[in-house]
Amino acid sequence: MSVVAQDVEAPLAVGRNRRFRLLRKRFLRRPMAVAGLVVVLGFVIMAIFAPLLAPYSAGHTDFNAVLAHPSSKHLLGTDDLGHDVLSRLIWGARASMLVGVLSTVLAMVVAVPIGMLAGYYRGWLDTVVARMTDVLLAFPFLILAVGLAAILGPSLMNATLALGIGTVPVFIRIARGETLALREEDYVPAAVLNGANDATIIFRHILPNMTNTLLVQATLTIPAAIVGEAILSFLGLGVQPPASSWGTMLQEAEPYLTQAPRLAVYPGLAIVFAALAFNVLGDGLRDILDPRTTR
Amino acid sequence: MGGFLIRKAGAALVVLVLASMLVFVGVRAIPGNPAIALGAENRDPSVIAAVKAKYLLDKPLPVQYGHWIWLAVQGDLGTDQRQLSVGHTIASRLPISIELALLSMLVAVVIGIPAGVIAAVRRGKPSDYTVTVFALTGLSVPHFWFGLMLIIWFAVDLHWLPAGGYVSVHHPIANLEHLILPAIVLGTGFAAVLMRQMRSSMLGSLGADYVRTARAKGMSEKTVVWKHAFRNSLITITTVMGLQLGGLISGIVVVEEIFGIPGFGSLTIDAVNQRDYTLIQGVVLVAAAAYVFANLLVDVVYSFLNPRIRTI
Amino acid sequence: MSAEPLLEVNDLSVRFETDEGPLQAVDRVSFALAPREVLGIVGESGCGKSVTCMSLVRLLPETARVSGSVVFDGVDLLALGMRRLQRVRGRQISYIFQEPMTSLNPVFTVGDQIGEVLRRHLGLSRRAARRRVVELLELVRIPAPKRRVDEFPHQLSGGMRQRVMIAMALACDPKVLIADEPTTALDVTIQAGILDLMREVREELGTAIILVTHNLGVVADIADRVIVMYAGRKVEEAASEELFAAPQHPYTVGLLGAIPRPGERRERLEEIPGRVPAVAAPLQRCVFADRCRYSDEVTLTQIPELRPVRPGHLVACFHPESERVAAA
Repeated sequence: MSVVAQDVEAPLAVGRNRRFRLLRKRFLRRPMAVAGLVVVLGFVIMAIFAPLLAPYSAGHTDFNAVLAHPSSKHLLGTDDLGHDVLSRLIWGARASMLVGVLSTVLAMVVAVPIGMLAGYYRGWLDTVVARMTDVLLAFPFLILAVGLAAILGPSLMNATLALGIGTVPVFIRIARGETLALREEDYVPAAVLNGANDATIIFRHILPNMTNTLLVQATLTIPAAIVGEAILSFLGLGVQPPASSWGTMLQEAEPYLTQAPRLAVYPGLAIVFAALAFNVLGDGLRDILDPRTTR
Repeated sequence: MGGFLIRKAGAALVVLVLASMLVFVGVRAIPGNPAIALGAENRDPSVIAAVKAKYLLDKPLPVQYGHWIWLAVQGDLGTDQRQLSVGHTIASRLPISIELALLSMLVAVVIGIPAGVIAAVRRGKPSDYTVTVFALTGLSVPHFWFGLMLIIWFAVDLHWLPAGGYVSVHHPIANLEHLILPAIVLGTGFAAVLMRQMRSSMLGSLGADYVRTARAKGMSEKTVVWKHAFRNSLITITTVMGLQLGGLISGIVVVEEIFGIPGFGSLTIDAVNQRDYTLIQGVVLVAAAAYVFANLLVDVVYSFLNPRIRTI
Repeated sequence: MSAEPLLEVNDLSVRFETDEGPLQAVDRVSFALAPREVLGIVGESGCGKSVTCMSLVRLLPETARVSGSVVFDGVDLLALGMRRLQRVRGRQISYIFQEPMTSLNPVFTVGDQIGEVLRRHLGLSRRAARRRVVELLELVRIPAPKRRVDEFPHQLSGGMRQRVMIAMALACDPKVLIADEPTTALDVTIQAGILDLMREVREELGTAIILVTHNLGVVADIADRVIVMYAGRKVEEAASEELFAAPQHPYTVGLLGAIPRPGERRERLEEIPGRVPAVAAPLQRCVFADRCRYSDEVTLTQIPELRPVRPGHLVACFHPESERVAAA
């Protein structure tokens, strides 16, 4: 009878381990997503280990080699002030990645609890949150950033703040939507019967079930924030010199567009690859977590 | 349907009012004496007094707000640093941006929607991957960088198109020549978003029960995709497009700056760079109003497309 | 009964390729449908009855591997080119689904959706199609048909939507109607009306019907012949009255025992212990063995083949009722 017992039990025993292995299998079947993950990790490492990876320090200038073409001494050439482009790219990764990731994290930390509370308690709280979100959404993110820069003055932190605020509505909506759906699940009244209070239900039962959706959204918001930082810095509203980010490099390259177009190409490509990697990764994650996809 | 629209219009109005309050408070929150800020940094006491009188700065805040809004509704947004009417400046530059926006949306719709449908129909096949990669790349490329690259390529290297500037609609060919690169830059970015949303929405529609029914009825695959699935996806897409309009406005700001187009977007940048607070105030208010209005338009389109709303 | 079967299904098997490996949903099912016959297919959820029917007109997703043959009008539908198959679907063989709300397209009117079939298969003009649609709506007893033609699915009740689906299915006067749990999603009071309608359809239009359901009451009401399925295999087949009078397979016996009958006094309804298994590859034994009280060495090691144990009554079982009762 042991053969029989196994037949009946197999479909029931889907533990967390098995689910993770299943997800990993699905992930590995998508070369694009894997590539995205690798590139993302590459940029993260680049940002963290910049001092070790960059051939020159951030402020190093060589006035003898201004606007130089790529050579063995300067693999990607130099800019108008004699900075080594490659080094600036690596150092710039720090600012760009920092703003990208930090703004998303900030937005999530603020927005998710608000969204969850709105979705859980509904009523007047929900209406107020909905109106607030609408007001925030009424300002295209760049206008918002422009306004903030005007009030607070341009800086890296303010750019992060502006991008974060622009991202908040998205996460509020997702958290609220997921909470609305999840609170109808059967384990909620079961938990209530077991004596759980609201906080426990929200944070112990509902939140873990939306981490997937939140993670996917985060991997898709980060590249938008990276691009956003580039826009803001390019317009002079973000990172301020002498600090550098990919965006400021583009700003500095603009006057020399005809003489040395490569100065604009390199930072742009860096942005594109970093953002693309995050987007591909996020896309792959969304695909494997979607119950409708079969492979 | 009327009820739906009235409710939406009402909500839009509320949002607009709240947004205007936000703008008002924001400008007043600037450190320093508001009279100096609004008076273009002029510290001459008589000028400061005049500014205070003009903007009622000695009265309580709600009164100031009411005064400002009252004038704004009539089209008077004050005068900027160079003594020009803000309302007039905005009114002269807005149509240019609107033309750019419409051209960009045209590009986006023509490229993005069919691509999204094809990607969904041929899911998993090479054409799906190609479309997806294009779309993701489009999302990852900063507008302005793409614009710069196009300028280098088309204008500098090939001399096919002008590198910037603007010619009025009275000369349609030159007008288009100047706007085509910016429209492509903005359009492809927007198309990338549309592509993904369309694909996602179509995948949902194609998996729906009514598509199975259509196939069981013996309808051709073309009918199933373009009549049954697409029509449903179109509805979800409209709501999405409304949300993406904000991105389009942001894009316009940047693109106008790069291509030297004297529109609403570059006005915004100028205003910030010159710290012209009256101008900033007016610009931000109009931007928010335009966005809210555009979203309302989207709601109208949506209510026409969705029979459930139409027949209530 | 006329000699030529309308539809002949031979050794139909369906296997799904999923992330967790293959899933055998249907294992070598064969049956035939005679003209004007109502064939009921019963079984629990997951026994493969819906998959079987959907595979007849190839409505399954791409992950499904279908083998065997489905011969209709001298042609194997499984081997037919898509364009020719589309001419059969909706025209010769129609399908109605379980959930009328989601099975109708929410953005098109009722008239448009029914008319579509008429225009495509019969080449009717818009005006002619519209007239025919009104006729069809009357046929399925929908009140105020001229008004309903221009209404949307969300404006109709559940029962009416199902009638619309039936009208849509009958539009081209098909030879076969496949009804997949047509009443399951409806209130009990509405169910009777739908069943009456289907009976009328058979009487007046002469359509053969394959009726899939897990509700034995429905089967007793309207079916001529019944097939019982379990875990992807056909385990019993007989005329309806015969099946209810003398069920042979222990599973069928259990199903009938689980029905509460008015006037009966019992402490507990009989239940069948265990659950329907999900099977990766065809089991090399009786599929019901692990839940059967008569299971033994033989049932655990060999596949029981269908054989007649009474006239016109096939069972796939090593220990059918009639043989056990006789032995006892």
